[in-house]
Amino acid sequence: MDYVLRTDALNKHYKHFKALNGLCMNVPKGAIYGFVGENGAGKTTLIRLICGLQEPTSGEYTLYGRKNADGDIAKSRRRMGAVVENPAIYLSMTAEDNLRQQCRILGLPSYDGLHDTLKLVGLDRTGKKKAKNFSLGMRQRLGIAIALVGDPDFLVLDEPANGLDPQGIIEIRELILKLNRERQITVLISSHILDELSKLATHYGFIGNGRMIKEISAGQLEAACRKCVRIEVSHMGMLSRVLDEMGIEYEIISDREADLFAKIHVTQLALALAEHGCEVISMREHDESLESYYINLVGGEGNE
Amino acid sequence: MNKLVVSEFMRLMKSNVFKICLLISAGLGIGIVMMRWSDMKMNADIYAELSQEYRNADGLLFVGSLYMIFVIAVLVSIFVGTEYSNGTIRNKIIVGHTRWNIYFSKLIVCAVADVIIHLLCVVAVLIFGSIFIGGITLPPAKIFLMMLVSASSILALTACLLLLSMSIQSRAYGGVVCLLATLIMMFASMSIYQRLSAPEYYDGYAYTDENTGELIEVEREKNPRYLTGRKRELYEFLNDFLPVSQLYQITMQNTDHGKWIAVYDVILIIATTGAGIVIFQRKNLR
Repeated sequence: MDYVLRTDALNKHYKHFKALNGLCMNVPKGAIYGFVGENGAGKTTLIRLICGLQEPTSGEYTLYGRKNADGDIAKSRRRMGAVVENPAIYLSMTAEDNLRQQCRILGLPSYDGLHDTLKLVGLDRTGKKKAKNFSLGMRQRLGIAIALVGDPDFLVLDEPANGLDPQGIIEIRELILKLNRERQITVLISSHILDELSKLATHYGFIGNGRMIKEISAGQLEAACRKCVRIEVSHMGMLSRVLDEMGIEYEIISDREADLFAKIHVTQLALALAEHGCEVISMREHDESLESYYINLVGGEGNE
Repeated sequence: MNKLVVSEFMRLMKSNVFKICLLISAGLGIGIVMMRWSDMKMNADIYAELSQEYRNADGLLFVGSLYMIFVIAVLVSIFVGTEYSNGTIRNKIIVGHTRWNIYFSKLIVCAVADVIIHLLCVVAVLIFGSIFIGGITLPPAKIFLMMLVSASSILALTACLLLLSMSIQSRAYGGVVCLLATLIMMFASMSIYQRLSAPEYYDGYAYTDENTGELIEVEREKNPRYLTGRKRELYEFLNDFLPVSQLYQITMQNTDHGKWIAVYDVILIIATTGAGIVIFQRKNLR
C-alpha cells in the first residue's frame, strides 16, 4: 500500500508536557483519514509538525517518501494544502484576492481556475465583500479554497466543522467527499465529532495522550461495530468447532470470548456445546457505535 | 524567494496602513513647511534680521525623519503582526517556503516601504519648501548624500524593528514593543547628543552687584558633566552606531561620519537579521 504520510515514534515536548509521545501513524494514499481524539490528545500538534510549523522533539515522519530531516522536504510540502485550527486568510481582502495572493506565494503563472475553486467551495458570489465580514463557515470554506490553490494531492484539515452550523457541516462534508472522489485528494481530518467523521472517513486513527491507540479502516470498524452476540465460554476450541459445524459467522476476541454474527438459537447452541463439554459462562447482545467504540478505546487506554 | 517578495509587495500595495503612512509622511513634510511659512508671515521683522539659513527650507529638510521613525515602527509591527494574527504566515510554510526566505522577503519589503515613507517626507519638504519659503540652497550633492545616509539609517532601524516584530506572535504586543523600543531609542539618542554637545567649559562672565556696586567676575568654569576619555569615545560610538542617533545627526545636517554610519548600519542589519532568522527558525508557530 502507498502511504502519503507515515510517522515513526514522533515526539513533541513543550517543556515537561508531552504533546506527542511516540506517535506512529500511516495515512494511505487516496484515503479520507479521520484523526480522532479528545481535546489535548495531540491532533493539532501532529498537524503542526507535518505542516512544518513546528519541529518534532524526536522521531520522524515521511511525507511522500521524504523524511522530515531531508533537505528537500519542501518539495513534498508543495503537494499539500492545510487548514490548521483557524483558517489562515487575509481578513482585509476579498475571497478572490486571498486566492490571488496564494497564487503569488506559490508562484503560479496565471490566475486561471480561481473562479472554479471559489465555486467549488460556494464562495463565487461574494464579490467585493471582505473576508472580515464573512461568517465562520465562509471563512472555513475560504481557508479550504486557499489550501486547494495549486492543486494539492494531500489536504490536511484540522477540525473543519468547528463552529459551523448544521448546514455548514453538511456543505464541508460534501466538499471533502467531492475532492476525494473527483480529484483523488488524500484527506487527513482531525475531529472529535465522531458522527460526522463516520460519514466520510475511509480510515481512522484514534489518538490519546499523544499516542496512537488504534489505526483501523472503515470496513474493519464497521465489522467491529456490527450487531452481534458476545459469548464467553470455558473452551474456545470447542466453541469454534461447534460454530463451524453450525455454519455461524464468528470472530474470536480472546481465549474465552467470541462475537457471533448471526441470529442464534440459544438452547441449541448451549446443548451442542454441553455435548462437547464446553460450558457457556455468559452471553449478551453486543451493539457498538463508533462513539462507544472510541470511548472503550480511550477508556481502555486511560485505565492502562 | 522572488515569489514571496512579489506577494508581499502586492500585499503592501493593498495595505491601508501603508497608504495611511504615506499620507502621514507627506502631510508631515507639508506641515513642517507650512508651520515655518506661517511663522515667517507672523514674525516677518524677526526673520528679516536672521541669517539666510532661517529664511529657506534647508534646515527643515530632514526634521521629519525623527517623527517618521514612529510611523515606521507602526507599519513594520502591523505589516508583520497581521501575518501572525491572521495565521497567513502558515500558508507560506505549509507550501514549502523556508523560514529564511520568509524572513528575508519581509526585510526587503519593509525596508523599501520605510525608505519610501521617509523620503516622501523629505520630498514634500523639498517641493513645498521651494514653493513657500525660499527653496533649498544646499548643494544637490549634499542633499543626495544626506538622503543616502538617512536611507541607510532607516534600513538599519527597519532591521531592528523586524527582529522585534518577527519574535513576537501577538500583533498588539508586537506593536507596543516596537513603539516602546523606538521611543527608548529616541530618548537615548537625544540624551547622547546632548551629552556630546555639552560645552567643556562654562564661559566666564562679569556683573555688578546692585547693592554694593561691586564688579564681580566669574571665571571660566569646567563643565563637570563634560564627557572625556573612554566615556566620550563610547558616547561618540553610540551616536554613530544607533540608527535614531544617526537620523538625529542628519536632522542637524551633519554628514561628517557618513561612511562610518553606513558601515555600522551594515553591521547592524547583518546582526539583527541573523539573530531574527535564528529566532524565527526555532519558533513554534501556532
